[in-house]
Amino acid sequence: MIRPRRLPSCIALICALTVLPGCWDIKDINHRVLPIIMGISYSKDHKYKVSLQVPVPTARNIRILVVSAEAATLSKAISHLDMNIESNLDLTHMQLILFDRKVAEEGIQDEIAFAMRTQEIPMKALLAVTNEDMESFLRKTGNSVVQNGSSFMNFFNKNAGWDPQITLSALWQAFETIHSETKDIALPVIRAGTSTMLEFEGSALMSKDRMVGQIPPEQSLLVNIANNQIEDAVLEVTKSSSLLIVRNSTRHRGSIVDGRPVLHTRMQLSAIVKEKHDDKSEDEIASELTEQIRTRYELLYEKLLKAKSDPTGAGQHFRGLLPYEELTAWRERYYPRLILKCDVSTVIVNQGNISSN
Amino acid sequence: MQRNASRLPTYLFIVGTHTGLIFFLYAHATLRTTAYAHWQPAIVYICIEALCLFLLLAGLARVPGKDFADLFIPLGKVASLLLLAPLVAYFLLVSLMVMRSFAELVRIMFVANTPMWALLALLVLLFMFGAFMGGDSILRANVVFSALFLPVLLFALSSCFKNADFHYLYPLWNSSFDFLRKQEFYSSMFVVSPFLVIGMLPPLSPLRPRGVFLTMLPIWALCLIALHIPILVFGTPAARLLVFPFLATMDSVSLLWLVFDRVTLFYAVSIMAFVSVHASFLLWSIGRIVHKRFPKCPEKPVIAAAAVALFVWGLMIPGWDWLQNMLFWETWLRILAVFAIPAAVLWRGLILSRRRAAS
Repeated sequence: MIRPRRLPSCIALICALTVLPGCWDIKDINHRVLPIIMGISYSKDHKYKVSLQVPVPTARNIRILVVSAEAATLSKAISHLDMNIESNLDLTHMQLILFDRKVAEEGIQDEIAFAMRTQEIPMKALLAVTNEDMESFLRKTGNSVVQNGSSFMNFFNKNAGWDPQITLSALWQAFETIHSETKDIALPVIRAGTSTMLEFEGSALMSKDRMVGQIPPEQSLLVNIANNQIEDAVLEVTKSSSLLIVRNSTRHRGSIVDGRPVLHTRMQLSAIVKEKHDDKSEDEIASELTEQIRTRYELLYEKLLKAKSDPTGAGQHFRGLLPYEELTAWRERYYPRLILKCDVSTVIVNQGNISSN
Repeated sequence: MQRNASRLPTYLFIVGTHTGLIFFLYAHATLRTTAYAHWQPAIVYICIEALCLFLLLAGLARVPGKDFADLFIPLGKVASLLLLAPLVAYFLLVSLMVMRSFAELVRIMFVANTPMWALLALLVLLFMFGAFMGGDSILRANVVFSALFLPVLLFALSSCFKNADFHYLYPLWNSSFDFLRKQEFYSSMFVVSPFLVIGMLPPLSPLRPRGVFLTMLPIWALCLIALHIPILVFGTPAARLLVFPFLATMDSVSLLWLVFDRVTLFYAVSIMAFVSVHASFLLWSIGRIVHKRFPKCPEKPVIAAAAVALFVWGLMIPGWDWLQNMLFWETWLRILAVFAIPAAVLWRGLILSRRRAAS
């Protein structure tokens, strides 16, 4: 009774076999090249110059290939590169999108939209800005990749060589903040190092899609502290001691006073004494650090407000306090007039194995 | 104990059909209805579904073991056709929409160059195969799928919270209720439609209204979560720009310790299982209804014809915008199916049970 019923389904299954194996439209891995860094800069003749750093596996080792193409659009440049490379270009393993400073200053909205639209470039790819010539940057860093295949990854990997000063921003975060009313990102500014692969110069302040300024590493550390992004210990040097900040918790609360936004920030730091010069008490050391962080944070905020850039997401804390129509005007009308009330407290966890010099 | 165990596939099936939509089209459909405070349209959808489900279950409970066709056919040739034809058309449209959207998702995600006909042929064959196996088998297959894929989906869902910024929940209140005046709100109402499959379940398995409602509670919670995850990660303005917000959100999660680089692949496979369950059941229901209304038409050729229609229709849609336009055009059909059919079921249930009590 069941047998004749099975015939159509058997035919259906066999038909499905023709499509299921997937031996179609797929290029084998040995016919693909997988670029890991894409650099976007402007060129004289055409609008864009796209440079790719492509690791090419050879018999023993890997060879780094740096290729560039100029075209009026990004996709045109990429397809131009694809044409000239003997294998198929596969962007699915892109790790970093590097913007030339001029591109970042002009605004990266279109570039980010392109990267989001393709679905080929992973949304987890990180973004960075450089002042250097793109091709020479890719070539120089390529040399260290040859020596250690994962050196580049480690620089940005929180489980490896990342340092708390380095701001991390992924493609999806750029997309988020370009369209967000109340949040921005800070992109790391990097250059090829002389002895190491990369050197961190500071962070690019973004206001929506435009780079509006740059802050030094010690200020970008504060951005990460304010965002609770410190997952690693970080050393701070005060007048009379060196302290290792091992834990940090920052809380923000927004309120509106007389039509002006007021941001209350509470930072709680836990530190370990590493070195001290004068014989100061724990309380004195703690208050030194507190004072130092607070003044520096206030200076940072002065800079941020002037640049209308909000990498610490201060505006997020006012979303519930302002009506939607006012929120869309947040950056122009409210953010520059923000008052910061910063409250830092430090706890000295211990002084190491000796109590006094 | 035995009785409860036998009902489990039914409840899982209700979860499965909803899952196929919630994790797939729900976020986009609801996000486009208004600019902020998206929980408002979501709650309205839930209320609509709860109300219509209540009507449907109240009707079905009075006449155990009968489905849509059994209830409407005694009304006479014309009246039954008037009620069943839109229902069949709507079932066909829903399966067309999920099939075509899924093909588009696969294309956007992995295989940009594969011709549409190949993707559609694979999906249609799969749905047809499922429908040929009959409703019982679909229910049983769904048990396996649920065991395999629901945990994967829930894992993917919870991993998205890593990137969430809860401040994006605000502003909470939109007093204008502008979504009620927008056509998008009505064309997105297909997200409540999976409850209609419950009307085909009674001959397969007895239903207990309380159990069905208890099953719906986690589903409704999932609706709200699935809608808000893209909002929390991308912020409302950016989330509204995404065609598959849920997919994008999952792509943004970077789990270095996970063996696989892209969680999205698992997501696509899991979604496909539930989409197939849903579409297969709809195709089977079409065959069932047509067969009962016109006993001369055997079920399988009807299912095959519906599948061919799906395939051809799916090929005729040139692109994503057309699919959205199609949603606009069939709004009236949707409102009819979602509101009129449950009301008619309740009315028939009342009459039949009263008649039985009188005799």
